[in-house]
Amino acid sequence: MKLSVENLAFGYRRHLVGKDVSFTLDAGEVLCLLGPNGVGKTTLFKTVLGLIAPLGGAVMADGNAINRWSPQNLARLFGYVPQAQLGFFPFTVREVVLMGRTARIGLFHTPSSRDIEVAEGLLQLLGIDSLAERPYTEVSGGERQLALIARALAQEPQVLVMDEPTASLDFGNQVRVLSEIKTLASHGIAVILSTHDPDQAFLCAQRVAILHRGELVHCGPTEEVITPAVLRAVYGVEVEIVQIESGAGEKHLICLPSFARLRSDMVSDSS
Amino acid sequence: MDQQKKKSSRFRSDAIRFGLAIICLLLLFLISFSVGRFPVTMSELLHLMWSKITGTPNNLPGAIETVVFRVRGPRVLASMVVGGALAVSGAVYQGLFRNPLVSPDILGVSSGAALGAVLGIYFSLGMVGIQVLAFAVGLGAVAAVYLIGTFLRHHDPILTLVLAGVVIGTLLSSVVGLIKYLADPYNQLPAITFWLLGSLTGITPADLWSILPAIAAGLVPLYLLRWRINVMTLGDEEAQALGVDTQRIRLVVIAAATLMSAAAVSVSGIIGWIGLLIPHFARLLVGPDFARLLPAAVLLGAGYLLGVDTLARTISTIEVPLGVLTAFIGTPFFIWVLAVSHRAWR
Repeated sequence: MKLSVENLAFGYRRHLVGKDVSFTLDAGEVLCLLGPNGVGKTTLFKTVLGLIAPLGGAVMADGNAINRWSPQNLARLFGYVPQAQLGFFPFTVREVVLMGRTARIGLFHTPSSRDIEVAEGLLQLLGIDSLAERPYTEVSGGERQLALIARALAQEPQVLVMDEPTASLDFGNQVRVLSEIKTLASHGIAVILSTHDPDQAFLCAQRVAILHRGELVHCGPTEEVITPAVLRAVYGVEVEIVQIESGAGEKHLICLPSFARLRSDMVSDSS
Repeated sequence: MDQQKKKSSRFRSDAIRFGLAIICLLLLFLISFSVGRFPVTMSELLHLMWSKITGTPNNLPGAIETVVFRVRGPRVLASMVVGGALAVSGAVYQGLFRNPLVSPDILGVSSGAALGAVLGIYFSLGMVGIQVLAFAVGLGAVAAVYLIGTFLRHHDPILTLVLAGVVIGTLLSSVVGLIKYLADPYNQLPAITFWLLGSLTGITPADLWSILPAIAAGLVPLYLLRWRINVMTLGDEEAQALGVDTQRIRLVVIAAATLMSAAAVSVSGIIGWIGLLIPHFARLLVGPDFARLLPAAVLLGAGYLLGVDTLARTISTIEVPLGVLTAFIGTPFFIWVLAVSHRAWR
């Protein structure tokens, strides 16, 4: 499976949020989308997913434009992890995960025992099987996020689109989700995720795209895109990229923000 | 193994809850037949029903048979059908619009039906004419709201529908007010007021037969689409991302729920509260899954209106209007449900 986004323009009818967005994604690849708050990452995701009609350009799966696909076929291609929100009715966590099976459940049917098996397996995989009977509205934000990831995996998608999947998670669950993303990619699923933390891109993504002022200003291998100059241009802060070696002898890159220079900037700004 | 145990205990607790609801409904059913201006004792009632079922002759006075089968029978059955229909459409609307304050009238079905009925009374059309007009204008009002919603596409579809329902409902209510103002205060105004407060007095078997097909035609698709309705409660975008054709499902579900409530209201007049209150109570009892919520809403709605209607015709020498009684009983009940289920919806 090859997903390609070609010259996509996106937004809401009279309000263009971004344009000229192009990238491709192969099976097993992880693409990390970075960008400041409010730049339109969620809108871009919803447009790629076919939830919002594009204002221009196209999204292709193996060369076929997907804009006329039925919601059912789209839901089998894309698994979607939206930013966790409070549920409305007190469905149990298991029922929420089962809702991920909808595109594989007949119009007039309810989940089969096979669907329930898949849901149980995913609840265990994400370590939330003990919450299966709890109302989704009463578990913590991090647990809701894990349930949403399980729900997206229940779709058995080829492409997983995750909107800030680690935003409301504690450190342990962040690490668990990132490692899960790597495992999924090794099983051939393509993953697109947005995050605010460039270190996460170093940890799990082969490629990084940066959305800034309505355009993809950079898109390429993680080490080439995430540089002090790019981060300064996009976020307005000074960062050093440091290479460290883990105990196992593997080399890793991390971002080290420089507060001193930030402070001197502020002083010079105000003077 | 563990999973199976969990499943069977869930099944057992559901069976107990539904069993209790059915037993309560049956008891109410029998009580409702026996009380009234012409009391029928339980043994007479059971004897009569047994002889009717088995076809054996009975030696009870003919008046009892007339009261039970001609007078109370249609009314008891109608209260159950109307109550169940209003509760189901309320449960569906609350799920679809993701709003616990929504009742079946949110899209203007009640104000449309009221206008139809009031027009029928104003033009002295007779009982059948009034019912047909109430039904037709009720459906027409919701169709108008839906069309407005589809024209204003660039907003959130659910919000647009609710807002359009509110304004159309207000417009129709003001027309109802105008007709009341113009109506003959001695002949027509009491009939209009009576209809607007809801009543099952004088309901005939023919009335009952006339609404049953519409109510069944609404109930069947709603039950068949029970899983899709569950997913729709996540909101439009999430439901679509999970593979639901939201536009089409929304249209079918609104049409089915509207058909049910319009049919119910056309014979009973405006009976508030059931569509708002009973879904909450049903959700408290069996949870939000529509596969269980729909049957629970049918049972509880049927029992609630049956009980209230029995009270309406027995607590006083004159009939108490149903709409008044449902509100009097519904208000404290609703506050109680709110207190008990403080976290059930958010």
